[in-house]
Amino acid sequence: MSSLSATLNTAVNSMMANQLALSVASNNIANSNDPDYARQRLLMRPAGPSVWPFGIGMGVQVVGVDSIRDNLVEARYRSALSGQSDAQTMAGGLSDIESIFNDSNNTGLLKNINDFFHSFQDLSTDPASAALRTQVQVAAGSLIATMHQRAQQLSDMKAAADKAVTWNVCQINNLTTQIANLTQQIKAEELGANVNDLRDRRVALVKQLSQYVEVNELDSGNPGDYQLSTKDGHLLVMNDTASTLNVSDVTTSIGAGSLRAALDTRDNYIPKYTTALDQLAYEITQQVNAIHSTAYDKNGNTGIDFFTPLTGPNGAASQISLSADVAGDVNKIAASRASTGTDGLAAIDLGNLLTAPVFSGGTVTNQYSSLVFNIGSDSSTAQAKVSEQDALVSQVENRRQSISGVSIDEETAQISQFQRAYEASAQLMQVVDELLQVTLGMVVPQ
Amino acid sequence: MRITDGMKYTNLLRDINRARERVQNAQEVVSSGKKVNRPSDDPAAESDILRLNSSLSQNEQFTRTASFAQGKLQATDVALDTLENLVESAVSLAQRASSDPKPNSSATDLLGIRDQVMSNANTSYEGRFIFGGSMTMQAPYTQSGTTITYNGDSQTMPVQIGTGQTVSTQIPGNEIYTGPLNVFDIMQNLATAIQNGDSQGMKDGITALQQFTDVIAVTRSKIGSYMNLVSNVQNNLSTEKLSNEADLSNKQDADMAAAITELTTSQNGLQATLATGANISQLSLLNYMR
Repeated sequence: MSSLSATLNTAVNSMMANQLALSVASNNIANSNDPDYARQRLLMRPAGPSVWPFGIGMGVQVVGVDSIRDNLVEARYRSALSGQSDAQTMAGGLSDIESIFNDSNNTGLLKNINDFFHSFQDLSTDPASAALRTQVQVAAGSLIATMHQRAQQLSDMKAAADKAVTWNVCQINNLTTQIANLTQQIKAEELGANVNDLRDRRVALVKQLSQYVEVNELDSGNPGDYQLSTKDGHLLVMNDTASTLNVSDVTTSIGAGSLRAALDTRDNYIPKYTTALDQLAYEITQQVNAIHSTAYDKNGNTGIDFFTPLTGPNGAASQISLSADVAGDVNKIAASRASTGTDGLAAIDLGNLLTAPVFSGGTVTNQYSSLVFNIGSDSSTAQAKVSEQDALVSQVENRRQSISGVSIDEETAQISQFQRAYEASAQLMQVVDELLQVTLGMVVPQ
Repeated sequence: MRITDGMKYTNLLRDINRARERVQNAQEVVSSGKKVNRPSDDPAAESDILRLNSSLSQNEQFTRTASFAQGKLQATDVALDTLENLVESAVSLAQRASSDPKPNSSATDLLGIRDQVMSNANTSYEGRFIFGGSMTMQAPYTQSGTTITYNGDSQTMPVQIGTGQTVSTQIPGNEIYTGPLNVFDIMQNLATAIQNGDSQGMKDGITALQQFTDVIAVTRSKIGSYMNLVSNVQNNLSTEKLSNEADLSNKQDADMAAAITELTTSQNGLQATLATGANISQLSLLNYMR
């Protein structure tokens, strides 16, 4: 049956459908600046054939609203974001550490080391001089102060990294709780209607979460059936329940993200540099004491330590100090090989330590510069990784935007397309109306 | 590929950011004049910079000790020159005394010369005695009655002027004044011989003094060779300093022309990015639809 009223019906359907399409377009335009919004499309299909005649269609049927998102691209994007945030945190932390060991302007610890050994070379020219002895004491004092400062700065950085770990874990727990709540809402509402907006919000939260830690997402598409876990198997969200991550559970194998970078800085990088600095302080103490304790001071006494002896390299950089003897009396600095206490041969030997390859890393300068080299190359590697990850993120982000982003041009074109269809349907109604008038006019009033 | 408005803006921002970063880096190089501003800029170069800075400061230190050694050796040489003159005048005094016997005044004159020799042996440099070995704080020679005693030791007080290279800065008094030939005893005996008119004694004394002149000459040539060594080392140090400075500059300093070119290029890049960005964002289908 194809009656006029059926045609009228088709026109009304078409007007409603095109109006819906216009409101979807309007929603798209309204959200076009939200990076996590996925553009939506009204799903329409032919309403199906009429029974008679010839199976002419009954117009259009609106099926629903679809949100356009590629899950594979989303997963790649999240993983790239984790990598980027990991690299940025790493590079930031290492560049802070690097600034402590910046001797580029011939300042810093290396200068103190040089000055210290030079003061012995000066002393050898006039071992009796109280001024030169005081100079040794002062140079040693600056060396010790700088060592302590460096050790303290490293331990401050370690404390800061530790705080960052706690903060990251706290943020992760906040986000997983929100994601679980959202999943619960999606489950409750999706039974009735499509909840693209809620899903968009969840995507935004998971994206935020990815900056802290890389996650695997398991989304079957069924409402409420949802899982998030870390790379090393910590379950974060199971359906509508979040499981709390504990600071004590996390290790660097948790997967990329700012959490892993903070853990790596705290547990690997800072301890590595601290150990190297301690080793340097320990060896300086040992080498200087070995010569000093067999030499004679100005009063002809021997067996005096220059630095307080240390039991081992552990913590040496923060423990290194002048022995009570040398700190109390500059005449107890042993510069002499003979018991007269007046030749400068021992001072020459002590000054020689600066260029003698008796340290585990060669000369004392070699050993210190290898520490600086390590820090510098770690930091430079981390910076290179940042650029690499930035490029990756921008590439995947473009891909994601290309699929899900709103194009104003496209929406404008569609608006005009739907507008025309709406206008045509309205025109059709007018035509049908006129036809009905004509038909009604055929009825002769009695 | 669909190009969306979001993409347009994020890409534009990213490009601007990258261009600004490049300007920033170029700016840092130009303003500091260095291409390595932190270890991560070039870790290997930074290692070299540390090594070169270290050797430069070591070089400065060696230059300082070398010029100290030079000064002290010079003072020693001057003192020995004076000693040589004193001994010569003692010899000629004794020779005159043997032909023109005026014993008392000649003997007194000779003892006066001996006292001058003793004060010569007590020469100091920068407040430290230079002929007493390591006993630099007390006078090397003291006199009680007619005996003059040496209070020093046999140390030569070396200082370091190069890696593993030392130079002695002193000749201990017991190698010159009171060495195998004791100049004080010789003069004392000679004075006694003059007083007693002992011509054999005078002859022996004069011979001994002449032999002592040889001791002085040998010592002075030793000092001369030390001074030579020091000035060679000083030359080496200044050559090494120049080459270290050149190396350091190579590793550390920016090529200013290149740095400024890079700054200008990066600024142009930023300008272009900003200009095109502003243009692109004006284009939209909306402008053409009524």
